[in-house]
Amino acid sequence: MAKIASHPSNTTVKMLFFGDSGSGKTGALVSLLKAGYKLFVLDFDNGLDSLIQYARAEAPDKLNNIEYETLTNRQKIAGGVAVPDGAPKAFSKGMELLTRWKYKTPEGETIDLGITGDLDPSDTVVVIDSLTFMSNAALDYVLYLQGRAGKQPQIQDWGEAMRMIEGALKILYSNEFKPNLIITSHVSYIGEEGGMLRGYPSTLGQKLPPKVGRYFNAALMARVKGTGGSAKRIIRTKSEGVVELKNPVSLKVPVELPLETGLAEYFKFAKGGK
Amino acid sequence: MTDETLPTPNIYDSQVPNFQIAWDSTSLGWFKTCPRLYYYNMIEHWTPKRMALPLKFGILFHKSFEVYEDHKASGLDHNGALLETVKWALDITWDRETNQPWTPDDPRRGRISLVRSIVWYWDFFQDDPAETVILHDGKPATELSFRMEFPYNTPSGDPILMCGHIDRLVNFADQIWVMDHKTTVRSLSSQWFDGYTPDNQMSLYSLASQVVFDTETAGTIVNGIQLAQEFIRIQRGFAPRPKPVLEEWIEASRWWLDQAQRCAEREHWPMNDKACHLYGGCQYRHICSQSPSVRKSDLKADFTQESKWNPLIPRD
Repeated sequence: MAKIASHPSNTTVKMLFFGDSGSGKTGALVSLLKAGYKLFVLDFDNGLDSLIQYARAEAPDKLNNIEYETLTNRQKIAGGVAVPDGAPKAFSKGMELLTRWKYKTPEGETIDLGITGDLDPSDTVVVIDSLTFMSNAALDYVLYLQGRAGKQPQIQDWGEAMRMIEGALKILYSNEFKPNLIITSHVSYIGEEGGMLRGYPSTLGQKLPPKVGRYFNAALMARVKGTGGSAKRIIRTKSEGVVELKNPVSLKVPVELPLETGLAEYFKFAKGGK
Repeated sequence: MTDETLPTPNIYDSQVPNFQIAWDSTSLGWFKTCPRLYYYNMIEHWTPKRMALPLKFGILFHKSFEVYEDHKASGLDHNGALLETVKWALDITWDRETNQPWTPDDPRRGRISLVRSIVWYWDFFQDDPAETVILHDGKPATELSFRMEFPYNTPSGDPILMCGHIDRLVNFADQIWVMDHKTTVRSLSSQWFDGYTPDNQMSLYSLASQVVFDTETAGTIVNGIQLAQEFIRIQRGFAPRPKPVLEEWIEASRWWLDQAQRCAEREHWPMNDKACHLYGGCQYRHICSQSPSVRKSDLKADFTQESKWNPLIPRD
């Protein structure tokens, strides 16, 4: 029989971090860097500029605490359509790094930081930026295997790619994957015809997005509040509108946190800090 | 190809005569399904008098991959290798006794279907993104037989051997995968692919590829080929086997081997009467439905004991 005090939720944050494009999801990670966390970032979006910019400005002494790998598939134009140029390796490379953080530097040196799932949750956050583009990378990977790179996916292709994404989420959600986890995601609005639209994490198909939330103990949202000069970027911790959020420490955490410090504040509350 | 002058390798323990010491996914699968089924197949060596058509077609189609790959590796281009493979298929499906083409009742698994499947498959995948690994001896990594020691000791003290045949090792997107070909008349839906995880055979192949072939494999790709009357459809799916899953499979298999040993020691092979109607119905269902005293005569009427399934003999 386990004791509540030793429940993994006390030590590990597994967060889905929603937000529309430009809402500041990636830049918000700098607060964790400043709080002393090491970030291991799988950059499927090829969009770390904001994080690097803020990190240089606000935590220049901690730049070496960011490990990242940009994971995009080379594309070429064939017949007026963008198709993968060679084997699309972004998804498989990402899965390899989620298993073991091992890579070669441009100078040819091998860096092996060990089994990713064994990284210390007290000072490490694995970030997948974003679920949206990771899902696209999975679909490209599946299509290439079928010999249909660049073609319209068939229903079985969607199914296979969705299985791969859900399989990855299950592994990341398990207690065997020890470090903290943040997966950023854009928002997809899905609903029954004539019914209400709901906002879900943007991933493949219509059946997978509503299931994604179950693999996280927290779901927060970055958004812009207000307009014009009074616009403010915040992190929302309580559901609002059609996007369902999740906050297991709702008794401690304010409904809104400033984007600049919010993730670090949330982590502090979630890990039992006051 | 087996040399008939060589003795058949023994696969049973010297101390417990009916305890199998060299297993494969087929025999392990039989035991897991039903100890009685296993007993009839592996201990008494009953086989249907006529090979089941899906099995026969599957064997031929598997073999065609090896034929094509061998010709490509020998230097022929795609068209040359394909022509040779089609010639092989036409030859192997000609009944020399009757001087007639092989014409089974199900046209989806007949001679024309075999040739069409070969042509369509290799025309589509002549530039297969999953490239066959070429072994150190220059041969393509197809139809690879393996044997590996398993962490379970026989009563005589030796480790159990796990055996099998990997259809193909491929390099896909800079990762090595086991690829296993599966022909079916069912549609290649997500549910069909779900049937391979969990799965005895895929787990064994994933394990074997890492242990035996000294290569870190990412898992298994199921190469599904749907056979229809006028066409084939091809779809591939992944059967991932992360390390914790393989470790669990090893532990579970040790338990099954222990059960098999107990059955052999007690000479008692109980029926699993919840499995009789699975997979289209067990071939021994009508046997087990009878009173024990009449089963033997029914077995002799419908089955033969001429061939013995032996995991140690490489597949021809």
